[in-house]
Amino acid sequence: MSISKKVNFILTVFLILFAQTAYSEVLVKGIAEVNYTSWGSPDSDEIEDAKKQAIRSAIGRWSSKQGTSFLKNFESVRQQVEKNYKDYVLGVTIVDEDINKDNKTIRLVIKISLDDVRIKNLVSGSSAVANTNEDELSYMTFIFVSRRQSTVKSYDDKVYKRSDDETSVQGSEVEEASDSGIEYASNSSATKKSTTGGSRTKKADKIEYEVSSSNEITIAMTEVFSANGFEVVEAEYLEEETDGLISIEAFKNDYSHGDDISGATRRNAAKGAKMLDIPYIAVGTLDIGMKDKDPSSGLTRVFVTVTGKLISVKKRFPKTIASVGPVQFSGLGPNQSVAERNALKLASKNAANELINQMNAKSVK
Amino acid sequence: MFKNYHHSNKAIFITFFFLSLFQKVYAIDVYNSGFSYLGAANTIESSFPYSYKLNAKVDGVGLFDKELSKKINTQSYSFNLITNKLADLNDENAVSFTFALQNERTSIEKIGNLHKLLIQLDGQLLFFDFNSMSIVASFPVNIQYNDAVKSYPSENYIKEQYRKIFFDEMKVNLFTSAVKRLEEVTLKRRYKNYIQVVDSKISNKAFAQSTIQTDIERKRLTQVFAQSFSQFLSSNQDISVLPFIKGHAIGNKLSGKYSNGEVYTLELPEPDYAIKLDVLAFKRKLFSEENAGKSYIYAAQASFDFYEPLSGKSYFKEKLFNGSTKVIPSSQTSIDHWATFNESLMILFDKFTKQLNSPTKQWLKKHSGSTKSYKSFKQLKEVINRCR
Repeated sequence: MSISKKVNFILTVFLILFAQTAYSEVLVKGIAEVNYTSWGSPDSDEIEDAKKQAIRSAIGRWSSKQGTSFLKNFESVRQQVEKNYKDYVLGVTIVDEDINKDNKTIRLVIKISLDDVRIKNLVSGSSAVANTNEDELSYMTFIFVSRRQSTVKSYDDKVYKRSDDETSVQGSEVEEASDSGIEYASNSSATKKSTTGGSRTKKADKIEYEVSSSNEITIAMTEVFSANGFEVVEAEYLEEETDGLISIEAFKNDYSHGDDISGATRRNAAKGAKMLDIPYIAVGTLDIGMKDKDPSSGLTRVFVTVTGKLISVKKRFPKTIASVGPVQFSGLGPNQSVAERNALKLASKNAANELINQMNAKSVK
Repeated sequence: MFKNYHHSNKAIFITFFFLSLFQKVYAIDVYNSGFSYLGAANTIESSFPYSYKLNAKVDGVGLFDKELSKKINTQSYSFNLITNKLADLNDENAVSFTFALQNERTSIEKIGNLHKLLIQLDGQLLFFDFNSMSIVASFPVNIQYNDAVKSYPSENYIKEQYRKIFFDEMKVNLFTSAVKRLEEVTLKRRYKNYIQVVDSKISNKAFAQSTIQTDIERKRLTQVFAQSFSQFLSSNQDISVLPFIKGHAIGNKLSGKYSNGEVYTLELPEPDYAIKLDVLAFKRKLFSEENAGKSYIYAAQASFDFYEPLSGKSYFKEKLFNGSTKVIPSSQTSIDHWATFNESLMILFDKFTKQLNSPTKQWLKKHSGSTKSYKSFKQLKEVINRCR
């Protein structure tokens, strides 16, 4: 055994031992079926080609599961990922290899350990925002308010009843005179018809909401927007400078009575953002549902429905460039408040991510 | 030249010596998280009616946890089992362990003048990554307890038999079986591929032999067959076999509940190799007749389909059968055919999964009637090796 072979051997043993180190990764399967031209069995290059194609298939299967807007952004870096797959694929396991010498085909099924976080970073790093100089970075602000039912006033049904009675008598009389005398016959029948009916009018519950702009939402959204290259200015700091045009209180007030933010409030917010040269403003609502018990874990579960819009005020008229929802997310916890916080955090993060993905897909910066 | 060769050998020997020491130190830390039940939290009490009641809490600790802990601490394993402290979240390689009860089944049937009480308990030795809450490996443990009594077993009688299975040092003890299997397990931090029974069926013809003709019984049987086959495959091949999860998992999530009421949800990896099991027929044939009694062959036939789910490629699809001979003395008036058929099926599962180590044409010919699928039978060995 030559020295270099020995060194390789010892290194291999070390690698096998250390290969057990854990990574943050996802496991995805890929499949490839390729033709080969070599005589008899495929050569190593042809097998390597099949392996690369199977890796591409695995990456493709993973990316298509990430949602439409992510997929659009991923397309811009797909070639880069596929070309430098070794940077993103931590390991490859052969699940099945089938060489058909008659048809000259190789069918390969593999499983890869994919460093998904690295690919996601690459995708967000390739967006228009991420490629802008720090001085040119876009400012943005957001107002997302959440609400939960505080009182529900239910009304009894208004019931109207009506009953109509009809009675009709039908009869006939026959009177016949002859030499022997007069014959007389009569019959009659009476029918009684009763019709009942009415109506029941239901009135919708009068629901009063408790509206807040919780810390969970602010933190989760700021984290996503900042990580994607925006200079986030929290709305609280803009209220004074916009003379109250951007008003969290107005958003809360609208959302405590209706199911949406009024046009006037949104218009004012857009005006305020424009006044301070903040090109983007995201607005949205998070509706916290009633608690229930998660049947699987037995923990308290709370659903949150999120809707949101990202508005650009760069040009003369404000324009919605991305929108999300209504989408439902559920949070679990040992009690209602923990479950609620988890649901809000999850909904905010996902909504912000979806807005950013749509924005990046349009190369907005 | 010879001298150099001698020195190099010495160097390799020393390297290996240190490496073997290193491997010992590097053995996987496994944190014991105790006994648990598999299933949705709100169904635990109804799914495990006897076990749940027996697992009372004393000083805040479940009796099953105490029993498991007592037995588990007396043995040594291929990993470092840590029982006295909580899992270290900073240790990326740390693995948690729970012994999870998956099914509890009690059935009573009348055979002649006797009432046969059958208790079946299926469990899983679950090893999971505490950070990602995903399953690393699972090894099935199933036990069966049979009893025959003259009068119909009372509720208290059944309860007492369950108590014995969990707490008495008799032949059938769930925790003893679990710890014994745990000792045999060769645990790895990561497995290249996973195998799982994904479907289990029983044909109308085979089910017609069952003494209980209900839909619930049919469902129960398909679960028993899947669990049993998984256990034979896991123990005979020393591989991790993902649990048969019909009715226990939503999507690829497996829920469970510890004795102390804490709940957990584990993510199941996708199986790389799937198995479809179909029990096709049970037949009885007279083999010989003497004055002392008759001997019968109890045959069980099942089809096995091993395939790769993504490409749909089938590695082995074959109907196999097994015949077990049973002598019935002339003095015996009633015969439990159903139990003997089941026994024959279990022998088939056992023989088949053992045969995967060294597949032979003779064995295949004897149990399938042909050697046509010998090539694919040999392929199975490779599939099993990929799961190690």
